[in-house]
Amino acid sequence: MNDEQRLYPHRIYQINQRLEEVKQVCGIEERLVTFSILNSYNRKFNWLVVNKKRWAWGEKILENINGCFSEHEGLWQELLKKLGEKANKILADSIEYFKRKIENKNLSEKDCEDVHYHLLNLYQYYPHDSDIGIDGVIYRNFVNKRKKLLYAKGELLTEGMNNFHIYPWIDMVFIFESGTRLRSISAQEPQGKNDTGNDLEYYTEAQYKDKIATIRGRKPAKASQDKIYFEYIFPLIMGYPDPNGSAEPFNGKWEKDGKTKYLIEEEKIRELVSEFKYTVCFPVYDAFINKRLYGNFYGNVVIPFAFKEDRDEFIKEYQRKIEDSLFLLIK
Amino acid sequence: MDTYEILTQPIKTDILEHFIEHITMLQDWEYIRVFESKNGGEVILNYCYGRAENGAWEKCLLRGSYCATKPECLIQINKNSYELEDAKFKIIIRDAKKKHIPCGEIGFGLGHMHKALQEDIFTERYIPELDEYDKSECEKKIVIYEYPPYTIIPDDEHKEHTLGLFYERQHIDLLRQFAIKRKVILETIRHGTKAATNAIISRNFSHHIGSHVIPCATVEKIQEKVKAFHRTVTDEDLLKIINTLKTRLDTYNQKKSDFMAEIATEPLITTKSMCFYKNIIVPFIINTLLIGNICETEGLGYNTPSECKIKIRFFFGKDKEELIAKFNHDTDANNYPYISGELKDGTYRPLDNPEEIRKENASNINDDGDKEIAVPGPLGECALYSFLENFIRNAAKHNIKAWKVTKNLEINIRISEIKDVDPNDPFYKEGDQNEFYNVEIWDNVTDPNKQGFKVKENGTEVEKNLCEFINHQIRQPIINDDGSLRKGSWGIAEMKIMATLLRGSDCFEKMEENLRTIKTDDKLIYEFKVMKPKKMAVISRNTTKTNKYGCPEFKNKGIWLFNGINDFFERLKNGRSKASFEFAILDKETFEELKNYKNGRDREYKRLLAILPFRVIVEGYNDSMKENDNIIPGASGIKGTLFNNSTTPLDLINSIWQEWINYLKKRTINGTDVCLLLFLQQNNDEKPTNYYVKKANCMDNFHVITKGTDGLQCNHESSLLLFDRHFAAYSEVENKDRIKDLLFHETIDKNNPDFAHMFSPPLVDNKISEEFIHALIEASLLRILIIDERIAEKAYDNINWIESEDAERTYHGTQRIYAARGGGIYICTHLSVFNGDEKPVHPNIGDSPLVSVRVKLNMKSKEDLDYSKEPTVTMILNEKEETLKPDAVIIHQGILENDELVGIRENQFGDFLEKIKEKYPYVVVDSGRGIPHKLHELAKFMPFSLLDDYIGRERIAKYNIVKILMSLSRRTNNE
Repeated sequence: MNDEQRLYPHRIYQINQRLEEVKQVCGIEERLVTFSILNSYNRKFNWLVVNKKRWAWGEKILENINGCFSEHEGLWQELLKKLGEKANKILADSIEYFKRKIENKNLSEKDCEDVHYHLLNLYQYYPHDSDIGIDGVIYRNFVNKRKKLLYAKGELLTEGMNNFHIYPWIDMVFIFESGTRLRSISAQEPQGKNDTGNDLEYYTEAQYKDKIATIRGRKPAKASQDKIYFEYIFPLIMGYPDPNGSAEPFNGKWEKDGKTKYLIEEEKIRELVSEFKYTVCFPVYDAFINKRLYGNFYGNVVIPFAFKEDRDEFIKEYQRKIEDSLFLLIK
Repeated sequence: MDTYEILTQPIKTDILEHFIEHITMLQDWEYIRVFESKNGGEVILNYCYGRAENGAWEKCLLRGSYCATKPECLIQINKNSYELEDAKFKIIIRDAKKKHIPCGEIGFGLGHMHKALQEDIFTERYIPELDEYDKSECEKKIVIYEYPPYTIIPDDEHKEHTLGLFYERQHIDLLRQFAIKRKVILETIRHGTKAATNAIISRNFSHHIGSHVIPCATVEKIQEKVKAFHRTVTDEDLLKIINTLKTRLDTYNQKKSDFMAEIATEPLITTKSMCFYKNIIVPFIINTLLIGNICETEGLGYNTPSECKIKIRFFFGKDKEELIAKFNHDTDANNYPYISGELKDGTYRPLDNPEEIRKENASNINDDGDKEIAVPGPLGECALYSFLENFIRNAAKHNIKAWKVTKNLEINIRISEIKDVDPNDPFYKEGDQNEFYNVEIWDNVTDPNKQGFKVKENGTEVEKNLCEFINHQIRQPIINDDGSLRKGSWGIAEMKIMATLLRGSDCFEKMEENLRTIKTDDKLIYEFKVMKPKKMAVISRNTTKTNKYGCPEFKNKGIWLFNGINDFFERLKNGRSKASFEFAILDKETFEELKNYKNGRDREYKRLLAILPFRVIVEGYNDSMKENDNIIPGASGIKGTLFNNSTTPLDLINSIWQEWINYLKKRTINGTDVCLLLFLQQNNDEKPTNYYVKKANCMDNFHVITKGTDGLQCNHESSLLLFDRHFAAYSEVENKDRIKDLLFHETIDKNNPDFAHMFSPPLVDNKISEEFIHALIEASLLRILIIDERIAEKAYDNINWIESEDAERTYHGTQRIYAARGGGIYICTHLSVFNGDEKPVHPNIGDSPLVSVRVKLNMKSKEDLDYSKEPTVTMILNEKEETLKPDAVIIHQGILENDELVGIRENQFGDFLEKIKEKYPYVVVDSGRGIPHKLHELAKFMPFSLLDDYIGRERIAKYNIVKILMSLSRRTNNE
């Protein structure tokens, strides 16, 4: 984030600065920490994570975005139309901006900052259903249990599974303030019509095996249609690894079999997601009273790990520190 | 937390609903319900916001018992009134005002932990930036916030309310920002609308008059036209015609300019009553250069000398009852020639006031058919003129093919009573029947069904017919969101502005409800309301009086009862129309209340005096009240009551006028008798003299002189007041000595604005209204001092009398100063405010002219405005002095600001005027630049153009000036 962006009043800039503070206070500056907030107006999640290298971009990326406009104009228009249906004033302005730009397809260097600003608006206001993804799993369990959830840890269930598009089922442990611990196997993606239950609680090893067997046969509902968001905007801003294997993150264009591609294929995304098999999540509440958080669900801090040991070590060392500093996110 | 997203949302509702609509961008709530406590103790549900199935925050459209349709909303609400039927809950939220209502105490909601009740933050204490409008909107609202079921609530919340207070603090922060934003928006709208209003009025005036009329009204063009029409016209006649026509147009323009200045500064500080047809439409019709040229470019003007292609017709009932002006003997009814044809004496004259105004198709109607209305301001008739200019221009411009078939453009105007108010018709509100007349205007060429007009509705373009399109345009604001002037449809915009003023409102931000178009029999009818005049304000707490005279029958005739001063203020402020009263009647108790106001609530006391007309009668007056005579300067006190024998509104109005005349007689001529004489140079069987004769037969103090039949028959002791046509009464009466020494004399001819009133007097039950005769007597008795340098400059102009010898004999001179003196108007030529020599009021006036009116106010000094001795007004004629005793003073604002003449500080203006009032109770300030910004907030105001029209032109029109002066009030924006 540059100095100018730090002055922007929009959520994505403000929250990411606060997230930096939390990380500094906890001494975890180098760790990937994502934060999504629950937009209580529509009860949808907004993703806010931005790769360090994606707070600005140059002409090259702009050129690639322009190329994406040309190649996938219809998909862009679909996304803008969907976002425009219930857009707030800020988003509406950005949608209008892109409509004009997509029509003209002549982005130039002077458009760099504007495109960045408006694309971040599309990104931050995209409404993610409140029961999908890791955020959805946390929120669902908080809402249903009506208890203060302190944190949760999870492990992706990828091995031998063919029951998801991108985001696999996850084995979660929820730790509530009351001391209650709860284990469940939870779906991150919407399930088919006939499939009941996205959270399959278990208490014994036998139950666990039984539930695993249950989910193995599940098929997720249709994948999201918003390809531009999930396969282009998000990978670009989140800084997915370059599908062509360079050291730099995805820059908006790649090559496959000698052909230029803009969208990242689902398979590639799934590969990346699976690299972070272990997670710890800290829900954030919206009222800070007497040094503690109360009130309603504000957002979800997620810290991914490749290895279970690293995660468990991390929890031991940082759990309390993180809990104590989460109020910084709502100040 | 960030509030940026919320603050970017456009505010489309009141501040409370806007807040509720968007608060969930910041906080998560399950429901927010807004209740309102009513005066009777009832609580009604205003509206709810809650969660849709997908979790989105939205306004619930279910109301009344339909609320129960949602399982979680089991509120017991009356289906029709929306009143809360759950008595326990009503008490909890209305009286107990708990911060939190525990679950189970109320019968609705999802049964969550509890509900937060936060009702009192919508006050200035929490939100100092709250706008007056929002403050009053939120005043009685009770807002209940329902937590989502999963909210993490501190254990001791029911005692400490820490979570509730936490959220409440955020509410206050947010509301304060909303309030500031809203204030900016409101101010933008207010100032933007005002600026746009003025821009539209000026632009249209410039377009209609500047572009269409004036280029066709040059001396050359008039000359060309008259000569083409009448080859034998002499140069002398031509000059007179040009002079009269140009003066008429100049006066119109001058008045409209003053009117525009008034709108730009302080509109509607007072109202004026006028007869719709006689006083408003007829002067418009006889403004030949205006009506003949406004559509000249389209070919709608005077193509022949005898006929204008624009016809204006006036209907006054629901059917075909029509008033028709007949202008001279050889023209058809409803036709107004460019100039009168060759007259019997071989001369040509411009079109003059009508010889006769007659009713058609109205055999069952006993009045004159004309309707007296209250117009918005001393020049309020210009509002209707502006409307008509636009209407005529639109009709001519957009229907060229149609009127080429019809051959002329017929403008029809109908005024009628509002009979039954349909509750489903948003155009009318209950009570409109008493306060307004309905006006419809249509033409003979516009097709309301004309198709092809595209408008945007909810972002989509839809096609409309003309009638729908105009209504759509009427609903459009005249400004854009940023306060700038919205482009286009300025004609309709101005019609909307004028309709707003005519219904007595200056709320230009909300004008769409004041004008609409409807389709009837393929006619496109514009519909709006005009104010009924309010004649008498009776302020009394006497319930017997209230019961008897508070009925609609009295109100409909302009008699309004108020239960004390507070009620008067309150109802004036909240009333639908701003029509001013002509009289105020106060009982003894109200007088005492007012006395107390003077002692402790000085500002309210002065405000009341500013709002009341000058004509005030105090009932139950006794000797002990004499020492408080200065409580209401210039008020009449009577011992008994006016209400004992008055069984009808007419009786009451007549007895009030009678008392007022008695008072004026005491004030001006020690109570001696007066006799009003009228000579219209007619035989006793000619109209309207025959009507006057009938009236005089039943009034002691009124006598009509008729051609060839008179002996002057009134009481020999009476002072005589004479309205005289062409000075001819002198030769008509036998006792010339008797008529030499008149208390009042005014020359009535067609050059006099009073002429129309005299020749078309108001009729009640087919008789001339007694009220009108009283008003003539009042006009004759009242003595007015005018301190205005522009009028002073004209004091020495020779008036163009045809009968100069008669003028010399009657007034002792032919200059304006003499004629004015004859009419009881004293034009101040020299003024001394403090001790010192009088200085000429205008630099063109010498120190010692042969005739002068010298005013010495004898105030002590600029620092001390007390009188050192009695002020004097003296007329000096050839070194002979006559002491004058004016009752009223009209003083130019420029005189107050003139260092040479007055030279006091701005903050002393109010005291200065108050001081004058002690001696001359009816004080008015005049100016020609709208309401001057330095005008004292309590001073009554008259535009200079009126003064000029009634005193500065060919004749002195005392009736007109007194009629306006005595009814003036001074309202502020909040009243």
